[in-house]
Amino acid sequence: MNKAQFIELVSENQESLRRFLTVLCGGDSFRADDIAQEALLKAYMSFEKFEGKSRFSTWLFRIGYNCFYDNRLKSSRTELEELKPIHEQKFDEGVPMGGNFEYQGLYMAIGGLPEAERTVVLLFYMEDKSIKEIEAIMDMPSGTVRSHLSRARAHLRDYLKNGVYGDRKGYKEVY
Amino acid sequence: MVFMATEKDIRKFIKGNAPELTDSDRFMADLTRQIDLLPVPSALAGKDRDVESEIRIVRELARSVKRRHLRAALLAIMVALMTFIPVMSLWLAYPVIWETLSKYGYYIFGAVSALILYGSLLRTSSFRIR
Repeated sequence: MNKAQFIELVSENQESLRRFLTVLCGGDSFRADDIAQEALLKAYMSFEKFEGKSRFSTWLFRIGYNCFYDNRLKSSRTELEELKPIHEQKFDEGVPMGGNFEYQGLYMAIGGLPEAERTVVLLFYMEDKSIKEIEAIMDMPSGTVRSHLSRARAHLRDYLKNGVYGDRKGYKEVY
Repeated sequence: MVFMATEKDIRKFIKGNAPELTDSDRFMADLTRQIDLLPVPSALAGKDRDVESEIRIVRELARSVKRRHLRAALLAIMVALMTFIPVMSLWLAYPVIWETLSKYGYYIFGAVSALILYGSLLRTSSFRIR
């Protein structure tokens, strides 16, 4: 493979990676793009480590997830506070809601989940990754992925029962 | 009636609420610019074909060396047989030769060994991988 082919492959996969990171970053697309760029440059520089055992997109997601994790650790160390999803920050700061408001439903639905469960849900439902791929991306055993998914699914069922079909406002109607 | 969200409902909800990215071209242009500033890693230098052709050349060379050695071994066996048969015939025809051989055995043995050693050294020094 040469540089042009690598860029072509990245171009096919970057959108799903950025979408995944954007939701993980609570809607902060600038931060998500920075992490995605860092991940893709790392993938470029260490391409010889890609053994072809998994799909190229799985390998990119793994690097992307690791970069997100490092970025989150660095941020929490420097800011000495837990990062809050951007929609919550906007509520707190009283800033008028921007483009992220239209995806409020998703952030509200998964916002209460622990990070691992949130990641599993996004990979499984939003990016259509299989359990095996999620195992590789998150470096977790299959049983742990399945239990995270099961808990997150129960939470989402509950949310959809009370949220989308209930009286809650502030989400994008999809039905 | 109590609503129970199915797997399909959850997927539909998450996909329907996923953020839409509209600036992929800008992102890719920026990324390509960054990549152009970095050195090209060897894995992406497009040298796979060169490496494969070099491996093919080395394999072909190894095969030709094996063939050459096999030919040399067969030739040595033939020469040994061609020498052995006349010597045996002479020995059986003329028993006096055996007496001479027994008398000067050490010298003859030394001369034959020196000859074989000289031939081996000559062959080793003239061996070339082509």
